[in-house]
Amino acid sequence: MLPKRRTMTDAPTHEVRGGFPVHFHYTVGIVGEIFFNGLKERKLLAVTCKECSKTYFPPRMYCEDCFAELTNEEFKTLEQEGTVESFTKTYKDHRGNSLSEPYYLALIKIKGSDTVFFHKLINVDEPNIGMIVKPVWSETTKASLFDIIGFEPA
Amino acid sequence: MKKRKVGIVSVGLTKFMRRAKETPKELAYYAAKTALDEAGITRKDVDAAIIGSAPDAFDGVHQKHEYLTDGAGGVNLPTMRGYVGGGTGVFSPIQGWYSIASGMHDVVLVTTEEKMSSVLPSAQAAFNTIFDNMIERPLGPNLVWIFALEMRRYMETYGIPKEHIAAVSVKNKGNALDHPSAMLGQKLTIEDVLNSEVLAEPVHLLDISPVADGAVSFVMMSEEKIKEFGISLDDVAWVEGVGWNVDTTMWTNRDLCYPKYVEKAAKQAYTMAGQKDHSPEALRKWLSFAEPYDPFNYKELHHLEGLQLFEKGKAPLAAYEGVTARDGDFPVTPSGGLLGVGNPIAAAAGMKVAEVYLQLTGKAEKRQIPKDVTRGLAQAWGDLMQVGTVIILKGGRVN
Repeated sequence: MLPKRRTMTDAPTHEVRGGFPVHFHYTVGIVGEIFFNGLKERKLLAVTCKECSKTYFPPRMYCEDCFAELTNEEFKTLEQEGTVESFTKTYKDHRGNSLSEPYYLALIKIKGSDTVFFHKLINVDEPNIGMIVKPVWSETTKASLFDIIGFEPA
Repeated sequence: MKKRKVGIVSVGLTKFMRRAKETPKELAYYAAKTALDEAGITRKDVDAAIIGSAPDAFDGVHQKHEYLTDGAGGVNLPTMRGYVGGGTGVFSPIQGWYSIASGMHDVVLVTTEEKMSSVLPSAQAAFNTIFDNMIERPLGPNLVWIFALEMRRYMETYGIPKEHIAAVSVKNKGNALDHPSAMLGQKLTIEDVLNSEVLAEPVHLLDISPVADGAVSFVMMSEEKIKEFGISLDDVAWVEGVGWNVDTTMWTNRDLCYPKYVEKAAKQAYTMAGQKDHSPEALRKWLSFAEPYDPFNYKELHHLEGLQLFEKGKAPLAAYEGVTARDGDFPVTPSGGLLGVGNPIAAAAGMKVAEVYLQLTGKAEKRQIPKDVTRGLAQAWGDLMQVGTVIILKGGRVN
């Protein structure tokens, strides 16, 4: 099965260092502009597909099921309340470094929405699935995902 | 195995632009939704979705296909991305063809997308990462450099004057003035092209296509479904031949004057379509027009020769003399091509296939070739200048 290759070892080897020398400036998109501007005003804006009644938060340009365009629908403001669908406590960052202060991440279903939102869970010792939470807003908002610092027990 | 007959029944194109406000998903949605509406069907009628997009490093989302799935109408369907770099836009409808010809699916939604404006500092910085890490990348190669090497060798070998190559930019950018998606339609002279900024000798700015954002979609169907939906054959272009071929990744070792891989892909497609005589005269009579890949002006000529549509070294003079003009004996790139419409990589080649469809169904409006067209070819090229992809379409009522 295994080829007889004496070169296949874990021995130190000559390396050439490289990287992918690119970075990005992403457009938030047609509906993203509406969503982020909503955050700036501390509002959770959602959109409902008329054809299938599915409500998207964050809102979308189109319904992924029935493919109707939602851009011209009225964007509605949801209540600032959600339910924890699942959560985890993270101890390491994506580089594998230990975090000095482990924290919670959660999937949160905002009331009135049919989709689930991913964000931090804060000011909580023992979260549970089904816990009712509300967003904690940053003092100064700038149309960013982190205008919401996290969600805390309501 | 008996292959089923497959037709393209509609296309949808976004505008091509330098920096679209839309996200990549939103671009894909515009194209996909337009194609569905044009075909008179909904996503419920679709059996499978195909996504074509080139390097992830443009849009800046790794595994771009999973990201694009909902915009391309592929949620909860057998959805798959094919990826052969710049050759992708022609390969995606080929994927659509074999999904249907094999009997697997009846209605396939194909979407090609690229949002190149996301990447910083430039698309060429992303292209640098396609080269060999050990022996090439330390020199900082980009596509302009390697095409300069190829273009010079092509000119030297056949004694081609730069004026003849520049004629392709004049023609294509001029044709693009009539394309509603175009970003760089321009009325130029050969002198304008020759006098434009030098990037890497002999390549000047107007020899090159612009990076762009855009998307193009197709609806493809089996003959049975076309009948079932009552779609008029006037709105159909049948897939008559497909071909693709990949050369070695050692680009330095390839014939710089002649794309052998394009020849192999083309001959596969001609043979499948039942065209046995592969001489330029016979092929130019059999085909009404062609949309070869033109990211650089000389590449259109290079590809016309690889496609066997002109003898080696003879395409440049034909372009210069107007043979390949929209109203010439053998129209080439009536769309305006990548040089004029723009080059959002996978979507650019998708635009070429769309042009063949639009010409064959008489829907090319101001771009319509002023003679009867029965059969057209689109070709793209990509990976590390090593892949050729070819599709041949014929009109819905052509036997």
